[in-house]
Amino acid sequence: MSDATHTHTSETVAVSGHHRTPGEERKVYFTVAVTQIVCAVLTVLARYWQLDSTALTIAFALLLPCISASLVACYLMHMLERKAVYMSMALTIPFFIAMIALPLWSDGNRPKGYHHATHYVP
Amino acid sequence: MQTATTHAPAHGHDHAHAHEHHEPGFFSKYIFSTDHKVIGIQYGITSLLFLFFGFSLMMAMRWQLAYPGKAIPVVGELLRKVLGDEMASGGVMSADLYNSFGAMHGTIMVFLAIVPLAFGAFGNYVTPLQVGAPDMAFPRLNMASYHMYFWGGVIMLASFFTPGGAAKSGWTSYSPLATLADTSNTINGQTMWLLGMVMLITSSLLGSVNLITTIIQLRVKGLTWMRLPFFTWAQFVTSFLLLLAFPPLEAAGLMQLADNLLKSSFFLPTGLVTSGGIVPVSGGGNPLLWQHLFWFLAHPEVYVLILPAMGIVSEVIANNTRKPLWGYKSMVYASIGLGFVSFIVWAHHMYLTGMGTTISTFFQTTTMIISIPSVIILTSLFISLWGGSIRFNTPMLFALAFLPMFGIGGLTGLPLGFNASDIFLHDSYYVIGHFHYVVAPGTIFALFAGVYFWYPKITGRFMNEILGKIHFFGSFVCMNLIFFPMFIQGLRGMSRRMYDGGSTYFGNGVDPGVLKLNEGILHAALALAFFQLFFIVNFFWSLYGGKKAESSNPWNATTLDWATPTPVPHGNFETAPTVYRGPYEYSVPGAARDFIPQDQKD
Amino acid sequence: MEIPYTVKPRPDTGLYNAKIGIWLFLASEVMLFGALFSSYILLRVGAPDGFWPDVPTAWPHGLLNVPLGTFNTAVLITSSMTVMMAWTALKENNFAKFRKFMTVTLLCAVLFLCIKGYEYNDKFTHYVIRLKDGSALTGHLEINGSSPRFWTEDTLAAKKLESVEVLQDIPTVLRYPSGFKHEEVAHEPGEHHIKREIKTADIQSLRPFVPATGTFFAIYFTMTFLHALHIIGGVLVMGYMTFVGGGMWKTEPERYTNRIESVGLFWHFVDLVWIFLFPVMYLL
Repeated sequence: MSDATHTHTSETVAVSGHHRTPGEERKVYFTVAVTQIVCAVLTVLARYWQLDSTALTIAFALLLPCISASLVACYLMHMLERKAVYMSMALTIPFFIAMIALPLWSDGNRPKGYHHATHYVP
Repeated sequence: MQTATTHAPAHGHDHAHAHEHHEPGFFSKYIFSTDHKVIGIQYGITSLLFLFFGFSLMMAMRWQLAYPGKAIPVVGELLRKVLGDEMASGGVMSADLYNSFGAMHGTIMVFLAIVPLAFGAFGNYVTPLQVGAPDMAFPRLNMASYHMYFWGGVIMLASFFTPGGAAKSGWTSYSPLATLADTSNTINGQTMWLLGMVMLITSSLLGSVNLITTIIQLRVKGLTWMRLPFFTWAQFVTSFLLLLAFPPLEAAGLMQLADNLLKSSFFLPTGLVTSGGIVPVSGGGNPLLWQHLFWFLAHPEVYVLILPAMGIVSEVIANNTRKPLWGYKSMVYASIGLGFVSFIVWAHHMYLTGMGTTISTFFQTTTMIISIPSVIILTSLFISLWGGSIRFNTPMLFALAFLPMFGIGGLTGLPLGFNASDIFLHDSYYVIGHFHYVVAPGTIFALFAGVYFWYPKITGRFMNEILGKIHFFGSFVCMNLIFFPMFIQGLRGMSRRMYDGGSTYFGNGVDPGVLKLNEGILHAALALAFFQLFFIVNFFWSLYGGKKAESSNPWNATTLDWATPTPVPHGNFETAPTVYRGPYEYSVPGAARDFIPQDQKD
Repeated sequence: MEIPYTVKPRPDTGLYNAKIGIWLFLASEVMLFGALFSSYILLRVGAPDGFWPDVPTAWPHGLLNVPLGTFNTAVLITSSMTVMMAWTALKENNFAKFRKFMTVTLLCAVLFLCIKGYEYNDKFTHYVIRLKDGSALTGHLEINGSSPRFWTEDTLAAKKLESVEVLQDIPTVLRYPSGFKHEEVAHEPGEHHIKREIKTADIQSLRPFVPATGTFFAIYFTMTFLHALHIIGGVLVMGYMTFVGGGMWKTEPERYTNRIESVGLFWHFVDLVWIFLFPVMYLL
């Protein structure tokens, strides 16, 4: 979000800043969609590889969707084109991580002899 | 655009507007208006009414605490008639009614009174003016936001009349209590509470999207980020807090709604036993999950309550000391830092839940860190007073009182940030005292300052100074008489959840000398109510009888909100202003007057 | 004064008002679904070890239809692509082409909802049955050739049924890292169900796959239902814009294009949520 010391002469900035023709754009969208579907199928197949470690299983099941999601954000949503957009999304990331990680950490870090919160033992 | 005096009929087709102008009827002008100023006033009036209602609930509770089991004079009979014999038989408040009032006092004060007043009313009215915008970026969304808030409020009020009464599990609605408190009615007070909250959350989501967009997109030419008034900065940070902190509570609310209506077990653990035996649910849920999600919202919410207040106080102080704010930039950076850190301190509300030492160390550390930006802002405001030629008018008195009151509230929070001391203090009146010092003589005083300060811009007339000063001094004394004794009670160990005023807690008639204080607190609360009458009378009388504001900038202020005609016409500015300087150019050496408006060219 | 930048982008941000508005809304949506994912993790971590349904509060695996889920993912990805293609058609001033792509998008969305509805219905007719001897099994009931929804042991008592026919599931043999160990149900190769008659007197409890049956079902239904609500919202808005509000294309084409871009952004977000929801619910 740059300062507002703008001059009103720069009104000619393109609406979405991409320099491809609509035909080329459509090719990009098609390629993204195909890649995404391949990612989804690979995720399913990877699940049947019978990995031994929980961490690896989870990592595999989330890695490909992450790739898929980044493609959507970058090519379909044009997220990186505007500073105000990626700054507000970047702002959300730490809060998102805090939201996921801190309750989990708090859940795992308990004094000895405490029962887990989901199982009340009188 | 029309001028102040020729309000309606003069304008028409004499200027080339894309859309047609016509005189709006009563409904489209006052009820379904899309003008940010009308919506701001709607928010203001509705939230002041809720503020008074929430206060009334508390007065009834204070009577019960001071004189347990005695009928409440006059009001008790009214309660019995309205809510029925099982709630207030013979005019005596029942335990259920006490719990309901307690839960609803918190909910109404936080979500229906103070946030809408600070963010909805002042944010809506003042922020677009301060950035030089003709309106909010999305006027119809703005209207929808107010209507969501209004109906959310109606649902909350209606919940008093549902079978079993309003929600009675505290404003925090902790599960499993909230789910199990009233199992005899499917649609009970808690269900209504959750529905109301979903409406309120949606309302504040719409409001915050709107305000952020307005500030980013509609700033006029020359109004750079570091030329924004501090009030606008505070509203900007507040909007982000509302935008990102509220959705987790919405998620939690949906899950608790599922627990109540679909009998799921998100927050109900296995093997939960109540007086009726084992609770017949599938179990496996996590009660602490609710607390995490709730406090993920509710701690940033504290800063939603306090940041706009700081913004108002900054405007009033800069204007009435006739000096620039000291450390404007550090205040801005501090408020941004405050916003960030406020998201990672929430579990200091949960030390009592059997937290591990590592995670508790983490939250103690972040809690101590967050006091730094608050202290930066408060210190800057204090130093701003130094060497100023202070005008002690009513808004300034309220703003000045905010500083030490918020200071007491903040400092008494430190022992609550440490696990070791918090465990002793947490369930006591100490916490009540601490929180109310921040919000009641803190935020509410700042909001009063804002009402007195912007009243001449909104109506064209000043509020009466004498009535204002009686209101101020009366409130100032009473607030302290109410909340200071609570620290003493809390340190002596008086529980904050006892409906008989704590005597069962001490037991065997042993009173360490603090129960008597409840009577004093009640009388101070009644006196506080009396002094609010001066405000109410002043508020309405000044509409017609107040001293006329001779110019559209009666306080000689610098920011753009005072560059509009008074009363502010539809569209706000006659032509889009251009900003040439920072927000607080008071007493500039060599200048002709002691203030230079932001839109004045050199 | 008119509100500026409602259609044209503001030069220094490069955005028109609605675009930044919709992105901010998406940021809050990220937190909404983030909180639900966080709840999912916490509930799952808190579930005891063991195999569901033998351990009643253990985390169930493999109850959802993976091929259908994969297909639904592809459907949603396709709709996300076509909405962008519709937008580029508007950039080419080709309204007919735009309408064609939008129709495909809407059809995909409706197909997604239909498949989701089918899956929901399958869960409502799917039961976990606990017997008095302590064992537990899952399967569909078969009463007079149809499978009833939402029955419990009380329904059996009310209907005075002496026994019920159950199509018992054969657990998918998929090894789970938490230690998959389950008695194999004897079956012919290629067989998916075993028909079995169970006496009502032997049944301790009968529960359909609904939120009240366990936290897995609760979070599954909450998250997918909230996601489906977003889809319904998107369908209503896109359908309105394409078939009812299309007149704006003639009067204010640039504004109309912006609206399609904004609703497209929302639609991609709905797609994004599903991309994570699918592996988390169906595969892990």
